Amino acid sequence: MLRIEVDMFSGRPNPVWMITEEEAARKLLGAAREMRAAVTKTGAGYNGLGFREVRVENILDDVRAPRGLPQKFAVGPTGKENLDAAGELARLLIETMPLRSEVRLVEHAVTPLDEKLRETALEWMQVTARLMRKPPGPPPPPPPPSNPLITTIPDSKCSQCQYEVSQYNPAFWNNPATQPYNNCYNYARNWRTNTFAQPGRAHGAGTSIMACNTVTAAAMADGLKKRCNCLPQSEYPRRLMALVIAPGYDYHWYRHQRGGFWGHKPGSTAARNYDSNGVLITDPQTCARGPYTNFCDFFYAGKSVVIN
Amino acid sequence: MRVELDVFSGRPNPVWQLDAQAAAALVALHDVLAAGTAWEAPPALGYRGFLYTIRSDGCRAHHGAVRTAQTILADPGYSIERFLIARLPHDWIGLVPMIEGTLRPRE
Repeated sequence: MLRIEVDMFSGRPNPVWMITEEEAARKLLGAAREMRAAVTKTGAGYNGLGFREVRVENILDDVRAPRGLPQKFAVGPTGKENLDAAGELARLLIETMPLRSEVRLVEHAVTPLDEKLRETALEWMQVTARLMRKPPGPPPPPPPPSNPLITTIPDSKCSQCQYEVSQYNPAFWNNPATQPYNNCYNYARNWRTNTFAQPGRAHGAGTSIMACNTVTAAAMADGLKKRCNCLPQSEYPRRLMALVIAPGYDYHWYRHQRGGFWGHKPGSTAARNYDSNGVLITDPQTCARGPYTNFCDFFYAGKSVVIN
Repeated sequence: MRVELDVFSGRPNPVWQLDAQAAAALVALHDVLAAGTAWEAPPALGYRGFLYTIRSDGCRAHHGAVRTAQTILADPGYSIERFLIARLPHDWIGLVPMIEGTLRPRE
């Protein structure tokens, strides 16, 4: 899943949308890889008023960027020698802006996506491009790989359902730019929002009452489904998550990983796959959980689950 | 002085400010602690200690010891943790029994 942001505004939130279709994301990354000369670090180009760049960020820990591409990069006719290729890639990206986003983000309340915004972004980009004119550079080739980090498995508790387990990848989370700003809900959903995501908050349905029923309702407002309500293949990748509660005080989430164990990230501490006794977690219902004494339930989270 | 109680997983941790008098008292308590060697890593879930900063040095007080970037200080009487427990904001008073339950005598 990719997060696209057109960095163009000063006061209001920038236009932001998600590319959830795996095929579309792969095509886009493939195009970026082919136009490697058009790709740059975020914030490296023009930084004045108006269109600055289009930012592309992978938000999943189990999707590898194509070789040569970082997890987060920018394109735009502003920061690279090959301005034409960069401008073309930025234009292609802006043209993917959905006119009615199926994934609701908090930014859409102030900056809704529509045709006028898309046209404005394209116009503003042309203005900036005229400021930055320079000659062309080299182009490159090959296509992106398939994802070896995700496996689809049948659910042992309800064999008609399937979900995806991914390679345990704590390094994605355990670094200074990510670890303090993402919690157990981010980890279990596998979405680095850098907002210490709270169940329901993305949909105006957050709760301050720390109990199984309230946190469950909040999470289901984000799109989680109770286990054994099978998710269709179109929701790939589908996670299996587990919710526990420290009654009255807090909640905690786990995510099933490839290899038969569970991963979790307690608050702003490091992501890990062992419990409070240092034992590999093979069942969140029975692992050592300190004060999180109430086991609530298991849930599926498909790609349409949005958190913030 | 900013103090954080590192205890939650999902919700943001409780954070509050000590007034100047309480901050000075905390510094005084901290400055008399002797060097120690024992440091017990906090558990994954539940009470993981109090975080505060003295003279730009980030400190974590947990289970009768204080760990900074450079050193470990022994606090067998839990003076720092008890001082900060007594100054928890009212909204978080309910956490006190859970925290105090972990303050068993050090071996």
